[in-house]
Amino acid sequence: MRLVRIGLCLLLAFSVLAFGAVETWSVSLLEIGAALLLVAWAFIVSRDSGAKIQWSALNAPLLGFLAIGLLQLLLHRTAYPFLTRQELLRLAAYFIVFFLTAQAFRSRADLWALAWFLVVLCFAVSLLAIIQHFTSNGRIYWFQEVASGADVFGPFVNRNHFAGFLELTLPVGLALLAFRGVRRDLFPLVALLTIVPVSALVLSGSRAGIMSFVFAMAVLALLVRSRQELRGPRMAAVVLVALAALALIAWVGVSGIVERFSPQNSVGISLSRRASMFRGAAHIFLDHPVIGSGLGTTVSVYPRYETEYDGRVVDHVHDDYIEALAETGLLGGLCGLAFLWRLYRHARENFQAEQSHFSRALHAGAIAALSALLLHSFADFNLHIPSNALLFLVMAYLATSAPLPSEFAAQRRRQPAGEHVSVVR
Amino acid sequence: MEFPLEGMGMRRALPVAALATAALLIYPAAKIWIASRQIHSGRLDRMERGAALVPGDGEAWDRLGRFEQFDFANPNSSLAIADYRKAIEDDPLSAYYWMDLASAYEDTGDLTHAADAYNQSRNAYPSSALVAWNYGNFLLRQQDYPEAYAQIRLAIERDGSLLPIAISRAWRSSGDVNQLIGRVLPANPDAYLQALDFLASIQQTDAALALWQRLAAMGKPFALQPTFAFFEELIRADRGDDARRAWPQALAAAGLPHDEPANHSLIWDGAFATDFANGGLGWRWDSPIGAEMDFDSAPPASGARALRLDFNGGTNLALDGPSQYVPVEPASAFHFHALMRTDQISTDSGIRFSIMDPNHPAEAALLTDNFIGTHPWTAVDADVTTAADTHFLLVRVFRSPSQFFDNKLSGTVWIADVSLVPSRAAGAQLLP
Repeated sequence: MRLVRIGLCLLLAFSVLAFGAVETWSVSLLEIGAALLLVAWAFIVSRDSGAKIQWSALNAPLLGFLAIGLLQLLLHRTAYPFLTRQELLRLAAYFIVFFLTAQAFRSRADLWALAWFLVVLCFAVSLLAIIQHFTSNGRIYWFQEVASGADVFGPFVNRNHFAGFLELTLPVGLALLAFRGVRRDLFPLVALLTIVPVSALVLSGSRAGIMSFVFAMAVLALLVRSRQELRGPRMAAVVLVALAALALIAWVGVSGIVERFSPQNSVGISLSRRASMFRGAAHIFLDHPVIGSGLGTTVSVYPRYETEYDGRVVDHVHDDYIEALAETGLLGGLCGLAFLWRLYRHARENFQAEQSHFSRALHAGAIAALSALLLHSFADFNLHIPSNALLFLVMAYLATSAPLPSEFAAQRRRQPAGEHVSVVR
Repeated sequence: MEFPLEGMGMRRALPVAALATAALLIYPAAKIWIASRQIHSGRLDRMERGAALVPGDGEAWDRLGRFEQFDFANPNSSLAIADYRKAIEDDPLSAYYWMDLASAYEDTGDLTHAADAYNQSRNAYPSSALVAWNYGNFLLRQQDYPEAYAQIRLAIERDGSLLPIAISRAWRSSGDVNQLIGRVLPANPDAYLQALDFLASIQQTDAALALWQRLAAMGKPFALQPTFAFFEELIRADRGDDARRAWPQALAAAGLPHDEPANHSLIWDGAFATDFANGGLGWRWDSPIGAEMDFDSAPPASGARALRLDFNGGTNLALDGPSQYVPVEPASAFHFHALMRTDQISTDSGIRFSIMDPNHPAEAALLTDNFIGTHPWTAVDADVTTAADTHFLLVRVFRSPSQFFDNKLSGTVWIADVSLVPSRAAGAQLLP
């Protein structure tokens, strides 16, 4: 199973570094990679007589989306079948990655490795983004030109999608600090690995991203507060990290960032434009209330509903919720609601269960990350960026994964009765 | 929930199921990737293979169609039509595919189908400026002017950047400024000013004047600078009366003082009360090297300010400013008056005033006395008579380059109370 774990991590890293996997070649590689990993997993598991398949409560609503797409194709209820087929392929790849994550990352060691992978990936991409921001000429990796009007940050063609990536990965490291999920001697390392991403987030100037991150911190603080006990979690470490990050940004220069929040700032999508896109998508939903206009068809259907013209092609309406309703109708809406309901219900149960500090940190970090991105999804389309969609599902798995007992409790279970157990964190 | 994999059967079925699932995913993913590379290759044979690989991709067929339609060597609109129709079968909601189809039909002379295709594109994207623009231009080519102008106006209202080219197209199709004003231009000063600029650039003075009158009648504010091209055209066309009427209107619209000069002077702001307009019928100064301009207090019993020119002694300056174009009556006499003061003006070629007809330089040319050295405030007076075809005079502060070795101009000159009034006085000082 190590092959599958490594493969999944490589696939996640690839999707992030390949500009968020928004281009045809990278999406195709992602889909092919997911399929190959599925085959590898199947062969590995088939040779293990004691193997068990983990079935997440979130699988059903995810498969529900796939079923809606298939139904749209079979019943010719999609405005553009080719786009729906493409979207179905992407969703299938996402589901495979989510499914395999649940199979491959179960033990403490596996989750420990995954957590560190996410923290290091977050740090490395953030460091790249900061250096690129100050030294590049608007190109990704200093050589890749992007279309005019793109708002590059890090490996992403849009600063808001970079922010979405950070919202999904940064809380893991912060939660490890807050919930003492790592040994004390590793605190400085984890702190360093989180200061840089916080600075990168502020430097990106993504207003929705920064606000969503603040919301994630509020969620984290609430979760910390719910566990106030002796030797319980503390937000002090997180606050120190945030202050250090802000100090770093202040040293670098904040004028450009402050400008982004100015009411006079005309960069990006205006409020009236966002409102008109929302209205257009709402009308699409009202015209296709049951099954929607077709997965992936917003770019094709929206022009007929556009009221505020600005010459730009609208491939997403900057609100993942209304776009999902428009494309999949009430059926998709029900799947979405079911997904969110199950997600938060299981996440809450698993967070509150008895478990090790590390396990609780992982759950808390995942809950904060998911909450941030779900808030950001009211103003952007991060869930349509393949790398962020994959990370979202990985976080969804972590939030709903079974809590891990503490080492002490695990050792007690393993020890025969009557023998002493040394206390190990 | 956990499901144990019980029995050999299940454990054997799992890889088979995984392989089948993988095949269902890998095959189409690979096809899409390969097709994408081929479609964007720029080679017809590869594009055809790419389009055939993913037959449901409208974009592939549209690209192919455009390649065939606009191939320099062998354009083939009939083949392009077939490709565009396939694109539309895949994505009937794409306004762009319908417009491409319309364009191909028009190329083959099938105007009925072209019009139908444009109407479909309008249905697909009712709010698009591009659709309205393309349809409007199609109608222009068919000489259906009323509907064409309506579509072009719609396009301009949605996308203001189309205005300059819309003005050009509409004018060239009709040559009628009333059509332009009534049917094409949005009723706002910015649109009218851009049209004014265009008409001035093609020297359509009468049309520009008609447009100006409508602009002034609008009663809405607008900046002064965008009107300069119009005034340059009036000066070029020797339309002195029109310029004299229009200038106060332009000043008023820009929120600037626009009262007629005192004492019936034809020179605007001869007392230098306001900053230079640098265009139109106002004072102009082009900041030559070697000279600096500023304002000082006026001499006693005189106007608001005095103009001061400082010369730094670095150049043998050829000075022809500040200057002002003054509309005048032909075959009339005028009296020019100014106050001048100098301080250590060097060289033999000093500062004087030049008055000439810019459109007929040989007529009504006049140079006042040459001021060098130091002089207190001194009145400079001259009489000038305009010729029968003189409608403008160019009044300017003037210095011709010195012919001697010691020719670098230094010193300071002050000028105040510049006026040009109609006079019954006879005679004029002519340039020797």
